Amino acid sequence: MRVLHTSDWHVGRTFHGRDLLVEQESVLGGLADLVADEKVDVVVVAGDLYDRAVPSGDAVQVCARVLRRIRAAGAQIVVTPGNHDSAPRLGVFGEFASAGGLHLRTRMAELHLPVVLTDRHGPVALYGIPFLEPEPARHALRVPQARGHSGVLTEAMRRIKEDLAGRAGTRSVVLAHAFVTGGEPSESERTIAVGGVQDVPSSVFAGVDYVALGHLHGPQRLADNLRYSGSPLAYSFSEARHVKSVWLAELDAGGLAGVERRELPVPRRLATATGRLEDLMTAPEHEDLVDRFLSVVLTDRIRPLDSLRRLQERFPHAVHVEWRPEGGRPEGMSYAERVRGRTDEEVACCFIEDCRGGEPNQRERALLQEAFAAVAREKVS
Amino acid sequence: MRLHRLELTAFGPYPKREQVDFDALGADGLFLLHGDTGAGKTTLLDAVAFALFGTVPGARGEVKKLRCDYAAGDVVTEVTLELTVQGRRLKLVRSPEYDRPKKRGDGFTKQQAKASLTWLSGWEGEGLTRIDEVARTVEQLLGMTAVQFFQVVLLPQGEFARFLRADTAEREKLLEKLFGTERFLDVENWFREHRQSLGRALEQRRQVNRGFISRVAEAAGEEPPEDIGDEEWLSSVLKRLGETKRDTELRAQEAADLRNAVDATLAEARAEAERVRRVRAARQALAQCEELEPQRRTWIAQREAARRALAVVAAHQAVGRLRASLDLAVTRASAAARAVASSGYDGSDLREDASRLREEAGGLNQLAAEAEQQKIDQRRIAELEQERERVQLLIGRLTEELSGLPERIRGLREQLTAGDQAAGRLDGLRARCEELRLRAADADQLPVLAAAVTTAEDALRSAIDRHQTAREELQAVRQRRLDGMAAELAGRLAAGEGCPVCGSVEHPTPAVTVTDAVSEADEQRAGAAEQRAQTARTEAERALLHARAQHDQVRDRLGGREDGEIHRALAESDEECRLAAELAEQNAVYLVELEKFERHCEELTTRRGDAEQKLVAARTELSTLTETVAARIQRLDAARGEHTDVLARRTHLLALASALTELADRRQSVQECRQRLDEQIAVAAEAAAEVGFPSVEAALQAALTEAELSELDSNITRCDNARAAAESVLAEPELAEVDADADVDLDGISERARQAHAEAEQAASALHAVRQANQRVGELAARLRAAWAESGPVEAEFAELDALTDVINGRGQNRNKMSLRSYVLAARLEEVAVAASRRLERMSQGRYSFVHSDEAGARGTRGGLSLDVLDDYSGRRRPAKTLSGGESFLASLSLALGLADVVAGETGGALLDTLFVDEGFGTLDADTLDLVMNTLDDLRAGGRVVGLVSHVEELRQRIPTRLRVRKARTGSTLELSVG
Repeated sequence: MRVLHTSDWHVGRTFHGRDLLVEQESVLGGLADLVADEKVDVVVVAGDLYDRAVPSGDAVQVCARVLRRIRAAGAQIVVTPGNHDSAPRLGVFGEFASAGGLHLRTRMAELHLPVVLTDRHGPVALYGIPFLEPEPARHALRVPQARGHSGVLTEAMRRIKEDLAGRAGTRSVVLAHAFVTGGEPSESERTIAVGGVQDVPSSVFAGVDYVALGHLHGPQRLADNLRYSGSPLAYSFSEARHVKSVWLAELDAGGLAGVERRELPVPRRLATATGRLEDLMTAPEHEDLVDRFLSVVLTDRIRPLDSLRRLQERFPHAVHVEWRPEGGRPEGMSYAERVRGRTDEEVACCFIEDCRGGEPNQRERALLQEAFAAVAREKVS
Repeated sequence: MRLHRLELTAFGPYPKREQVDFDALGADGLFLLHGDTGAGKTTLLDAVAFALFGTVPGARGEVKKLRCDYAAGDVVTEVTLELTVQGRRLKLVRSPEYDRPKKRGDGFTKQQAKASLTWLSGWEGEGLTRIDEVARTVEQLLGMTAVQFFQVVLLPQGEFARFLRADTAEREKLLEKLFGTERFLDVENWFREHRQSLGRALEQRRQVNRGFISRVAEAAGEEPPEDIGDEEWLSSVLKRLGETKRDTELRAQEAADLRNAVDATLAEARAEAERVRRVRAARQALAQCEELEPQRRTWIAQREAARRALAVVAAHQAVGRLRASLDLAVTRASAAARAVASSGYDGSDLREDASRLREEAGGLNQLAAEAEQQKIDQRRIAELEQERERVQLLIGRLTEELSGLPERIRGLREQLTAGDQAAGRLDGLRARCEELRLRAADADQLPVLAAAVTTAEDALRSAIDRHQTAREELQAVRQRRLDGMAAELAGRLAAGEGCPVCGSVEHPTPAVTVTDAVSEADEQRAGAAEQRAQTARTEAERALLHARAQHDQVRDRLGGREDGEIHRALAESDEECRLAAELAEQNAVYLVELEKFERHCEELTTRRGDAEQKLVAARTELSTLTETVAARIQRLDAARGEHTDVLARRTHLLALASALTELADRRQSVQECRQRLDEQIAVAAEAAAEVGFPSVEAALQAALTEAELSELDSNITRCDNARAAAESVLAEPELAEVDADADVDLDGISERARQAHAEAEQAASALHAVRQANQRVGELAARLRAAWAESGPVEAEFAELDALTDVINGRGQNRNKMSLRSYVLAARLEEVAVAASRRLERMSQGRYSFVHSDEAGARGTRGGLSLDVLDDYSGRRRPAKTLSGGESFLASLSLALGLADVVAGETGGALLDTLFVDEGFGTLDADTLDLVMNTLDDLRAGGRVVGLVSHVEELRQRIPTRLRVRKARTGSTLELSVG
């Protein structure tokens, strides 16, 4: 059986104010061709199908068209919700969708019930673990003492292994949306940290033939059978050097036989450029940046007027401009120095150091982290 | 974002549909919107805002009065805006919520707000109609919310300088939305909420701790501490409690020791008293023994005499028994003698006589058997005589019964013969009756058939008539048709054409059409009628023939016999037949009866034969028996003597013999008894002498019963035991020294012991209480310390969180009085100041520039987002608030443009190609106006369209592209002038 592993589609996401639906549809539609060419049996999407809990009508339609094409190309589809998705909304009409080959595994209480597909070697059980927000998951899985994301995921895997133990001779695939220790984050993932604990040890997934992970946007391999597919498109400039791809996992009679990588087309490459505005506007070496999404750092001593408007005359896809004059910012711009180019938490630490004196201690840092995570979570819902 | 077209209907002061073509207006990049005050210049900007966001900027947004008051009731308020954003051209149509007059009746009804978005080009989509979806899509496309839009695109009247003059808190709100840093505000709030909830949890713990402290105090019997109790207080409580415990233990030990000593003394006194009591009791018992000694001796003597008398008593009892036997024997002997005397016996040798009598009785045995046979024979003779009488009677009755029977049998046979003859005739009689009955039916049928013939004849006659008429009618019709045919042919004739009949081309006298011309159809109808009449006639002829045939057949069968004659013959035949049937039926009954009589006669004859045989046998046996009995009776009378019969005499003899033998035996027994008695009397006397009694009577007197003897024994033993016990007590060594008269004081010592016990108990219970209190306080103290240990870290955590929350919110340890969000925004504001300064420097000819300041506000209010103006003339900073009206306008315009610039770089997204500036130009002098216009020209050069809203005369001369708003009593209208 051939399993195509992808995740973090984030359909409906914008890129610095730019709508990406067209690009998303073209890349994701390409998956259908891959399915047909490679004779893929099942496509698994490990979370974050949409970017928002309530996606726009256009986003929903793009998603529907893409899934339809994949199904028409011959593959069954298994989808689980990630931290961006609203599980009940995503799972609506799930039973009906199953009949058509789209398996929406969105209920925590049923995560131990697999989608069972069969090839010539026998059955393969695909278990979809929806993203487990610790608080509701503790309740839904009846483990009130479970600690953090790791605790509830451990319980989820215990249930799955229990079910699997009753299915002799069945190979297994697990879909999970989590930050597994060893994974490399980028800037476009929203933290799922709670109380400073967001990591899940990879040992939790022991005993499964293939674990399709979602959440991190860069494709990566933690173990042969434990991989992140990454997002199909770049969603931040930090992903400029990612090569977006999906995994093709082959299961034979003995379990995992091999995993191959298939790169995805890039609808519009990302680039960053640094220099004086006039140079950027005229220098011929920048010609290949014209079609890219561009983030620009201007180094003019004097801040140019209407810089983005000017830049877009040559680079229509310039979407972000930062002014970082060479030789340092002029007097009276101390805050920009302190804030620019730093993460929210770093800014907060800097703020405490400036306003109170003394760096925040470990516990204060943890508090800040927790606050930012909680605020980020609220924003989705 | 570029606007193309705006349409508004019944909106603001515009009662009708007005249209603004921004493409035309913006051809030069700069246009003026002018008109009288209050005519509705700003309303156009409001319409743009409303179309985009469903709301209008500033104070006007708060009053939802968007509908035109002058508009006709049925005109719908609606704004349509076409624009291009991010390469997509779209059309937005919105209606506000407003009250419109009801279509029927008075009053108003609410018109719901509506919105729709239609994609015109650049995007494939079906468009949106939900207000929230439209809003979301517009915000996403523009990359900004209404508030941001009003700050950087549509600079509204009156609000223009607001940002310039705002304080930190107000600027925070605005910038936060512009730069999308609300998350830092959320973080501040999160900290506040977190502090609050942790504070609540901590307070609960404190409450619990306070509860523990008051329980410790209560258990220790102390007042709770006035301040919050701490470890020091707890230790002192425990220490005091320990001391109290030690004191109480000491006191309890002393009391216990004293109690034990008094208890020992009391025990010794009790033992002494006991010894004295025992010596006294023993001595008293000995004295009693001495008193009883004579009595004891008497008891011993009595016992000894009684034991000796025992043998004599036994011998004397045997004498008594023998005397009783003798008395019984004498009584029985006299009874036997009485029996013998009553039988009249007077002999002397009893046993001899008895054997003689038994021999005599043996001789009577043979005669006794004969007497038995005699009785049997006499009973048989009586039976035979009765039998003879009965049989003679039976024979007489049977003979009489037989006498009438042969006559009856003969009569029955004759009747049977007559019945057989009648049965032989019966079949012939019945056939004749049946024949006669059929003829009678024929006779009844004949008149009916005759009537049917008559009816059929009538029917035939009328059918013939009808047929005749129909034939005549047919002929008439045919004739008329032939007549009409000529006219028909004539009608078809034309001059110059040949006649189809004659070929002549001239038609001198064509037949004229007759009035009652008949058609071919008429002829056919008449033909059909004739056919039907003929068929009916044939039917009637057939019916008559049939009726006549039936009538003739019946008449022939009757053969001329009259109706009455036939019925008479039928009645006679029926009667004859009935009689013959009756006779035949009775024959069966007679046959049964005859058979019965014959059988009866036979039976009676047989029975009479049997009876006659029995009579003969009885007579023979009777005569034989009578002779035998007469011979036997003489022998028997001789043998019975004076007794009733031989048997009675034999019984008498045997009874007498038995009585004699009995008497002899009894007399012998009396003699033997008397002899044995005499011997025993001698034995008793001998025994008395042997054991030393003078006589048997004396010995019997000394004898005692078993009970009396054992009582004596126990009396004697009791005396002996009492003496032995007393003596053994007195012999005990520990009693040897005892003074029997000593007096021991037990009561005094007991009282002392009771007191000592009470005191010891009191001390012990006091000790128990102290120990319990100690244990309870110990337990509570451990729990209190555990609670303290638990709440300690929470206290510390809370203190830390509390301090951190203050810092983040710009309070407490925060030196700068600057909140986290301000800190983040300060960086943006710095850049805004830089960007704005370049415009301002230009417009103020290098005099003013913006400087960001992070100083705290007056009276300790939060700071961080102040903007000062640096006056190059004086080289000093001054707050932006102190600028004059014209300077403020310049500063505000610069700031808005700078803000737009920085926001665009920050959030990318859609560039804003249309900009509106509403009012403010009136405050400018001519030179400054020049500078402002130059700046606006720069903007235009960058590809933007700038719309100015003003009533300043000079602008009207400078800007050729103008949109004029005309005010009238019935509402405003628009007018475009170009060039």
